Amino acid sequence: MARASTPWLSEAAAIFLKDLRSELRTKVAVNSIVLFAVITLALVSYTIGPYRIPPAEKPAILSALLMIILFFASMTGLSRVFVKEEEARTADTLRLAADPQAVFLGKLLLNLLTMAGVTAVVVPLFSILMEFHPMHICSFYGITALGMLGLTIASTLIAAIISKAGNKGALFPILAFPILLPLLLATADALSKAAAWPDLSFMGQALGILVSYSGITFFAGLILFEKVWRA
Amino acid sequence: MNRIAVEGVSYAYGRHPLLQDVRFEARTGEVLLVRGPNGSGKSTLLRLVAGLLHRPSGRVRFLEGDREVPEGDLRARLGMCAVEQNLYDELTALENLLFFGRLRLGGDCAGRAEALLGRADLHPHRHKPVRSLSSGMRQKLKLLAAVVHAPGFLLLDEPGSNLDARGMEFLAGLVEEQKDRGPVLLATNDPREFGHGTREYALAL
Repeated sequence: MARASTPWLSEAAAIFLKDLRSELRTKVAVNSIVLFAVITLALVSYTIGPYRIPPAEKPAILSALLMIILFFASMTGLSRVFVKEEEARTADTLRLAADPQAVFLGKLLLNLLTMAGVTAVVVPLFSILMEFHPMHICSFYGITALGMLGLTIASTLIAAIISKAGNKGALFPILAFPILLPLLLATADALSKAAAWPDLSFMGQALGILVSYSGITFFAGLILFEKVWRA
Repeated sequence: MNRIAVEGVSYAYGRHPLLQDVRFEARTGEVLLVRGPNGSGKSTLLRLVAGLLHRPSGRVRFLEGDREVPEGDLRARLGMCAVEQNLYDELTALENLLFFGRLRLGGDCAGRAEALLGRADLHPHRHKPVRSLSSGMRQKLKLLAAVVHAPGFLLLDEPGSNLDARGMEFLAGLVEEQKDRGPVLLATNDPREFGHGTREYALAL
């Protein structure tokens, strides 16, 4: 029954479906991310609320707050895809059976689905609770989506790096923060402009930065992941 | 004719050398018993052969006839069952086999998975999550996951762990069938498994 290796896209789909099935049964990552996001959101809306911020500063402050909520929410759950494999001692079984790039892509797909769901819940809720009504709503959501795409790709690669380390919980945000900082700053800046600027002249530069970041981290992930996974 | 050639492999944990210049060859029809006291490096040797540990020196070649199997193709041809490797607890027995079969065969392997579960007396339990199975059932399932793609090379590390007499019969049948397909490396200190071996490689402390 010897044969050539299976196409890695098909393997990535198998890994994604396995992880999705596993997550639907345990709900560990989704529960931790959603709970963190909702609690933080409630805390922000209760302590700061929509009226304590001067209207002129509202777009910048609320955009930064939104990114902080999404960043820390993602830190609580995105590392699970690899940490769980190491802790449950299934990582070696998977290493022997799957193409490394397929593993990266499969895990990334699950994290993207998770963050898409979290963003779809958190952003509208944040807008309602903080009375944050961006001027360019489509651009605002588009920038949020691109920001989360970059954050998820980079976080997935970092999750693989930290999965074998001793103090995984603390290491993940420490390692992620400097790598994600340029992305978070660019996204928050673009969000505040989408919320307040009268025109869309900022979009070209914002799209350039966000798409480049996602593209570079994605291809870097595909190239570097095998070294990380087999280390 | 498949062969596993281990050529001058050494390994150390930090400054403590564990394996030094290990050399052997096993071929189709052979079950090479790897024996040695606890801590002599049996499991480490199998992990080095499988490529799960970085080999600082020496090399391991997997050969089909005179052709060396490229590293990228190895996962479709190599099977391994070891104590420190687990299956997915939250998935059912059948889902685990289908997952590993799909990764290695590329397509649906439901027929083979069901047949293997039947051979291991696990068919009635195929829809149960792995976490609900007994340790012996889990061990048999791990063995099935290692051979679901009918590999040309098989590595077994203490495969009889937690198996009862009927489980040992199943293991004997599996090893007997596998050695016709390719070489089997079997690391063990369990006298119940010594009978499977056709040759022996002894490690010392």
